[in-house]
Amino acid sequence: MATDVNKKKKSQAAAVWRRLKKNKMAILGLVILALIIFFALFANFFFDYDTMVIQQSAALRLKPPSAEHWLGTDEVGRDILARIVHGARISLPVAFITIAIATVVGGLLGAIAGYGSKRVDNVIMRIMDVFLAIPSILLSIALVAALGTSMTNMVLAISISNIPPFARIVRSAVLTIKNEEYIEAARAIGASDKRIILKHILPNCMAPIIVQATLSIAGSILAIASLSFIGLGISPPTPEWGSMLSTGRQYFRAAWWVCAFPGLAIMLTILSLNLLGDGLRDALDPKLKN
Amino acid sequence: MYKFILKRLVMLIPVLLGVSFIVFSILSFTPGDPVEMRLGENYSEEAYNAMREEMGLNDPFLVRYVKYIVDAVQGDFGTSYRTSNPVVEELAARLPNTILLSVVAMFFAILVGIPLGVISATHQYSAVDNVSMVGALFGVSMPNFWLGLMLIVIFASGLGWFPSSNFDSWKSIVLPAITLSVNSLAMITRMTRSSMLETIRQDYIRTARAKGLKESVITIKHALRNAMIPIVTTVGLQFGFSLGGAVLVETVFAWPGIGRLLVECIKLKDTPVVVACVLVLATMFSIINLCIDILYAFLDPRIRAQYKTAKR
Repeated sequence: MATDVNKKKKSQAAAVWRRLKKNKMAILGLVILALIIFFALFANFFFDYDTMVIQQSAALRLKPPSAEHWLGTDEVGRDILARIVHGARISLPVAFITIAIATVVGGLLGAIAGYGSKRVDNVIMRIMDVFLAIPSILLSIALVAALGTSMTNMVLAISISNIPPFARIVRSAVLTIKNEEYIEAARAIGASDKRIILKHILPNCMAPIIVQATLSIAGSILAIASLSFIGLGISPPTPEWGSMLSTGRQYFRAAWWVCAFPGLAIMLTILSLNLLGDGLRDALDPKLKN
Repeated sequence: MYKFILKRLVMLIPVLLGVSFIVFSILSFTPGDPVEMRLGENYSEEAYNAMREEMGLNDPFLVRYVKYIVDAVQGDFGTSYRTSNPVVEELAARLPNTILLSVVAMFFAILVGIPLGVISATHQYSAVDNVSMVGALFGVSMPNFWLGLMLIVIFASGLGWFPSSNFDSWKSIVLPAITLSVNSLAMITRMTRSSMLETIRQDYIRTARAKGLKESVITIKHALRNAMIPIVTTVGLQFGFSLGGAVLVETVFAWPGIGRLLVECIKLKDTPVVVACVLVLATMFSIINLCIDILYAFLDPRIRAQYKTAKR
């Protein structure tokens, strides 16, 4: 019986993958994202951190793109390509962590709200409504302003501002699922609440969570860059894309490349995640099944 | 209908109270002593204590919060630590600029986005459709502060067509407004296209065509009107987001709006101004959302009817 369940799970994932594969844009997104992750993982193999990313060189100040420095150099003579590649090692993991926290906390809150009594539901969801009434970038800015500027506080701020959408999605999924017959059946054979939530309800509302998480990572990357850009996130000399734009601002009128390429890196990453997220949404939607 | 509007207005109150509580409490725990902010470097202990008492900082947290709300409802948001001016004055000077920027940006996004989406839908898979969809894809993914910097390089420093900062003629709003509108423009175009694609396949469109109506009448009167609801939702959401986006765009273009005030005051730890800025922006965001809900009822007779029957 256990193997039967496994087999079915596998075939479901395979079906999703089959549908995703047909979507050229989603695959393009996946390929771009895979390339970005690949370069981030092996960044040290391509560009040495200390000599290329941090070390300054007066002779190489603000050199335009050339054969030696493909994307030019910045105001203290550091190779921009090297800094962008190493920047992915910051943006991607930080974005993943923030969304992982938001997914777990938001998902748990949503599950409790959806499965619990009406009163618990009301309390949790009204609090979420309040958080949703503040534009998320504004909420992150206010939180960082209050907590102080640091990497940890930024992670915390972005995580918190991402919790409400997850709580909402999981709650509405739980509300539709909890009255299904198979849940009633599970309860009839004496399954505990914990077992019902973890084994029956959560797996059945994974699809919207996965889609929301993919799209939220894109949002989180933008939030990290935005906060760093206004000086409330990761500060120089760490090669974060937003802070590269922030310092480049003083020089970009004479040297457009110091701002152009870090921004392109942000855009490409967000683009790939958006493409993948949209593709996943279609692939996971049972209504579109052929 | 009035009952519905009234009900939504009443529901706004607890949300705004909650928002103010969150913002007030997170900023009350901000490190840094506000008394020192106002007195500067040299002060006597008596002056310090007097100022602390005057600012009401010796009261418990909840008392301070209630006081703040009671004052805020009467239009008093406290005094700026930085300038010692009433916060209301600082906001009043900046708020119109932010509203102007957001409204112009949204107008641009709607005026370009909806027609572009309609054309993309009626000419699906044509060159126009492909170009605008690829463009929209980039537009959605583009960080607006980066776009702002690039527009400055090209149109201000390079071609010299528009100024990159200052606030004197109509020309100075062009670049910031375009920058702020691009994300919204992209979303509105995509939503218009997908909503139109759905409606133009409906039976009543075929009926209208069978009656021999002009194609333009069918598209605008029969299809677009019915496709409006998701478009209106997107427009409203984007309008709300543009208030958040304005914070960054204003920073890039040195636009004298509330967003830039917010960023400046965060760096200077001018808490009363920060709280007020966030509150004002969140209130505007909530009111916009409310307006959309009301707009639904005007656009969709089914929703209107629902409230009429509920009344009986």
